[in-house]
Amino acid sequence: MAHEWDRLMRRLYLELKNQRLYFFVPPFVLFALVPLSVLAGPQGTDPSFSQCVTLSQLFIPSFAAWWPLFVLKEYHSSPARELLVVHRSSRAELLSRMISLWALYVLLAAVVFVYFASLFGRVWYLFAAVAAQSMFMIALGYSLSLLLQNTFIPLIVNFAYSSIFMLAVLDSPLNIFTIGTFSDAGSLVKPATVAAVAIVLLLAGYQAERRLYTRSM
Amino acid sequence: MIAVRDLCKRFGRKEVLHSISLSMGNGCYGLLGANGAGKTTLIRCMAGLFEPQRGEVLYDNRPIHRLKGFQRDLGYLPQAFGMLPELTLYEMMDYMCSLKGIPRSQCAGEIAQALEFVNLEEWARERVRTLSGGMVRRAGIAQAVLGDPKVLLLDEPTAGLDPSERARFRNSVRELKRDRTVLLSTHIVEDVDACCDNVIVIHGGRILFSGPSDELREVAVRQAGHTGKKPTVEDGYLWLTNGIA
Repeated sequence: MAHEWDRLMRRLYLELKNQRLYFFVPPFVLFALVPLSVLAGPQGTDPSFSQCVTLSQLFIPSFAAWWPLFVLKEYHSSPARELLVVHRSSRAELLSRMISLWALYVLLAAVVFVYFASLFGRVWYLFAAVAAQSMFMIALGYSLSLLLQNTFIPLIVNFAYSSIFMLAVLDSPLNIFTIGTFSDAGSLVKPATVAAVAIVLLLAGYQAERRLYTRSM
Repeated sequence: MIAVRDLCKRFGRKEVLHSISLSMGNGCYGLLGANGAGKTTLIRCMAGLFEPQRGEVLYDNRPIHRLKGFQRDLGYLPQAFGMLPELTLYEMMDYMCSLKGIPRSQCAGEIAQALEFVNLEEWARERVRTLSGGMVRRAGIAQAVLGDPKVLLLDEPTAGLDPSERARFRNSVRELKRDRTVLLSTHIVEDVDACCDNVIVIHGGRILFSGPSDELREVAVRQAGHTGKKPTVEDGYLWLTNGIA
């Protein structure tokens, strides 16, 4: 088991290294774009928690699928994808990567929220919501990319979804985002639902992943 | 060691392989056929990439889909190769070691040996995307031999290699075939003539000939009569396929 974990982490490290400059996009968003946008605030006002709620949900979940989709690209468009399939160590090879990358991304986001906590106090309900939304975005990208055998369209869908539902269509039942105060446990009802939907999407993607191994070449 | 029994593969309504049966022990087998004959489909079935509609691939008399260890005993070079282009050649090989489940402690030695085998040791620190097409092909051969696999499935291994590298490859195959099964799919008959003891001729998804290469040469002699020229595998192959056409 430990050997399998070591193998997975080694490959994940090299896959991320292969992304070169693209690798730095999510850290830039997390550690520069989001905090600076929150600090800048609307003209002449102090940073506010509502600004933090909006900007965190707008940027953090939409970039969660960045690394996973670039990893999936090698499986869809690399000339050597056959090799990746022939020597797979398990039938959930991609699913385990998606979960690992989600964990890594949420860990980095937690660092940003420690900073937000120093500014606004209790931000952990918002953090839980953003973590669930990030999982949803990764699950959506994973299942769509396996369904379409493409990573570009899922990336576009990802950003379009975040922009439309965060900035324009707030009341839709399809919206995973919440505009609120995130002050009590009641504000976690929607994120819990989003996490459940994300798990369903991951399972749907896993079914497509199993099919990929035998029928898609 | 590896066998194919009554294998049929269809894509939609098109049947690409028709009841293929083969058996291979240690040695080098040349899989010869024109473009579209079904070579790559057969190799992909043998590597476990395609599920056949009927029949099975057996390794040590057991179906490969039930054998977890088969992938570890398999070295595979796909027709197209070139992965993780932003990594160095060494890192790409390291990735392949990890993919094949080779213990970390053995990776450095395995990589050095494989790169030396294809004469790429000096390029280990170069990025994959900076390598020429022939070098990438050689890197593909190197990754296939990582971990000392017992079965090597090589799909068009010499495509894109210059004459000296092709000669080097032929010599390497002669060494490799001693204690393992090497299946070399190609339409370059000279490669088969130079290093394979056995030939499999596939045409339209059917096996036309399977046996020692000397036997195929004799077929050519029998058909053409004694001309004084030493018969080649190509003569036998051409006679077989032209007879069908």
